[in-house]
Amino acid sequence: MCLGFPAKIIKTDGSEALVDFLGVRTTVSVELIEGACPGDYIMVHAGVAITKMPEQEAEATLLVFEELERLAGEPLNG
Amino acid sequence: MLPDSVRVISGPGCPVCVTPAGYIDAAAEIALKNDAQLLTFGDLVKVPGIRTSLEKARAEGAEVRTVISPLEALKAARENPERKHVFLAVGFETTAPATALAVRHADEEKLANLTFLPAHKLVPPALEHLVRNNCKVDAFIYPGHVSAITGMAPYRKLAEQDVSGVVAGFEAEDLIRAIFAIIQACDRGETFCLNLYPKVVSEEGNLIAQKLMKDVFEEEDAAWRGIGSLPASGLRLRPPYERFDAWKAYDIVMDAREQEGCLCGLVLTGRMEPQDCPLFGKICRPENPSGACMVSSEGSCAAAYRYSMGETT
Repeated sequence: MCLGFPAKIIKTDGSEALVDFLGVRTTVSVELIEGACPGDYIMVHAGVAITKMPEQEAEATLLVFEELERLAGEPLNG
Repeated sequence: MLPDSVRVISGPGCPVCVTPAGYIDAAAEIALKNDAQLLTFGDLVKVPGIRTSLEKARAEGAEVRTVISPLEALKAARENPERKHVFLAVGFETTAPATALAVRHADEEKLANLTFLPAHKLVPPALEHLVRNNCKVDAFIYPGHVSAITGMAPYRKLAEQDVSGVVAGFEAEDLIRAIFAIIQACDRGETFCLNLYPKVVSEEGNLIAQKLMKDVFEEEDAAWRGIGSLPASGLRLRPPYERFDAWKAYDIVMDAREQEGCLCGLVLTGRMEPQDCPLFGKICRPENPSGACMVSSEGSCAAAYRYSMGETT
């Protein structure tokens, strides 16, 4: 339950945002961060964005997830 | 992989591991006696209580639905207004703001069919307990996502008591970097408090989340599985939100007893390696866990079993 994941905001709609994590799109709350905008990277935990992340760092983290997914041979987000 | 001179100890437990066994029984009782739907994080379903588990309660007719966010509980309650819903609110500072958010929305929407069974725990009191009880570690690796909420203040306070540590992320390279930094800092012989996860953790933490938690919850003494009661280490709903408190709504009290024979407490406090527990791998296995550390995928014993017994799932 502790697994947080980095995601990219596709679009925002009030208190919610549609985000992309490894190609999977889901809706999360952005009420706990300030100024969420499309293109921002965020760390998501329990359906809520808990912090914004610098783009470069978030992409590096996503690459690690992709590598883990490849090694595991199955989607991590399933 | 690490030299013998470096020992990494897991503790004081994942959120599921530290949830008291009596909490599980209380949740099962609410569902079975009051015909309420339980909404829970998946990890909690197989955790053994003293008398039962959510999985067994489900077999007896309780409706137990897994969710990945407290906000899903809100959605379930909105969609089915005739049905009573109870969200099992466990987790550290990372999860508590999400529960607080759900409580605030439930209040704003005047939802009458959703309550919360809070058993949230705070990490700093557990660290202070370990320190007070002669936990002889050179440094702590502090949890990155808890720290995203709390910021560095709790660790700066520990550093004033000569307790060293580094905040790290969860990937292998984050942990290797943390271990390397600890070794280097220990060689210098001074107390240290470093943030190695600045991409996620700021000095002040998430101020919006901190404020929301303070608005909705107040601190209380709380029971930790295997550790016992720790002062001001748990969260209860403040009086304006009391009507959302499932403990009160269903007039239920948690049985504070520990599960017999289970040595999770020693593992959680770093006093025993999982493999040294007499139940490990024999009676206590991931498919039939005796203690919580074997249940959650993040539990010390589940990880030790997976990597020492050649398990791949």
